[in-house]
Amino acid sequence: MVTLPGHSSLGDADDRTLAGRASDGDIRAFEILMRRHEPLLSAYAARLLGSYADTDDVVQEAFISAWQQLPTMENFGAVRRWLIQIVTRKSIDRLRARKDHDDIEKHDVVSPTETPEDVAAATSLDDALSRALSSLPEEQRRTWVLREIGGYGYDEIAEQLDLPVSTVRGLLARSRRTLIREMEAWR
Amino acid sequence: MTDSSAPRGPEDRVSPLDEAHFDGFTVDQLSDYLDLARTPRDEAIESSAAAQNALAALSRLRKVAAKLIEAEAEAAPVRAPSWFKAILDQIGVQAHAGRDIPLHHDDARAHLAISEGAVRALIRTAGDGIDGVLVERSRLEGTWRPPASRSPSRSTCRSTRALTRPG
Repeated sequence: MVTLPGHSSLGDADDRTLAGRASDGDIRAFEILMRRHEPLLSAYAARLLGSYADTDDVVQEAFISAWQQLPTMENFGAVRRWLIQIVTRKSIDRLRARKDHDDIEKHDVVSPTETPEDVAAATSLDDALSRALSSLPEEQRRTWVLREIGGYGYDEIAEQLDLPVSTVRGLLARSRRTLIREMEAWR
Repeated sequence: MTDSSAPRGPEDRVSPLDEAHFDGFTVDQLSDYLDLARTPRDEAIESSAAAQNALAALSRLRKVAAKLIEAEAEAAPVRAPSWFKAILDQIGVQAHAGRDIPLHHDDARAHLAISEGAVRALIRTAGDGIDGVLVERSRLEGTWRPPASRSPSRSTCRSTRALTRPG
């Protein structure tokens, strides 16, 4: 008896297999990849953008762009890294568009949402860092997220944020100092 | 001296990275040293207790950072199926159809073709139907000849990978 596989068997497949199938035009495989990676990509984009409203749009645009780029994708084994890069580019585009419209204040409603007192109320070290990160000034947070989560080098961050490398280094040092102060205080 | 039992406000908090607390090294220098996995060994840094303290704190931060986004992703509300459907609807109209493969028909007025994408979908369906097989990618080899030549084009399915199904 021939049984056509449904979502269940494809859902067990690894990223490499799914990306290969998706690049061959299998939308169902792409859907599984999206569902698998969406939570992390959204959390990452939200940290970069500082706005949940923009996160929805950016991650959607990133997936559509990923689908278009699939036929030229080189390393099917590194899907997550590849998607993070696409989300980063889309997020930076969005940030630049905001800058061009000169209404940054209107968008950046979530920074800062946390105060050091909130950090003291954290229930775990993860939570403490999460709260401390929210308390950072926008540029420091963005720089730190690109470096530590996105894995970008100083030069790449400088280029993406249109800042001198020395400024990026300064922002990173300040963000690390604050984050460590809050984490150590929580411990 | 401060009373350690007194409640501490944010202004009292100290960080191992506050400039006053390590021997003249900058956070930047120490972060770079950590990025390079502490090689080549820098004796000045390695022999400074304060720098070691700062390096340990930087390492702890990095460890937690690696898990941070995953923890936040896990805590986030699950997206509604409609969110994914909106994307699928958009990409559905830009499916990777590829070239058209002409098909022969006895009636010369008929111009029939099947897209490479449709052939790949057929190969996937056929391959997946075999127990324990999940097709990964297929590569169509050969040149598509005009229908009149009647010489069949070859299609080779490469790179199939078996997937063990439970049961």
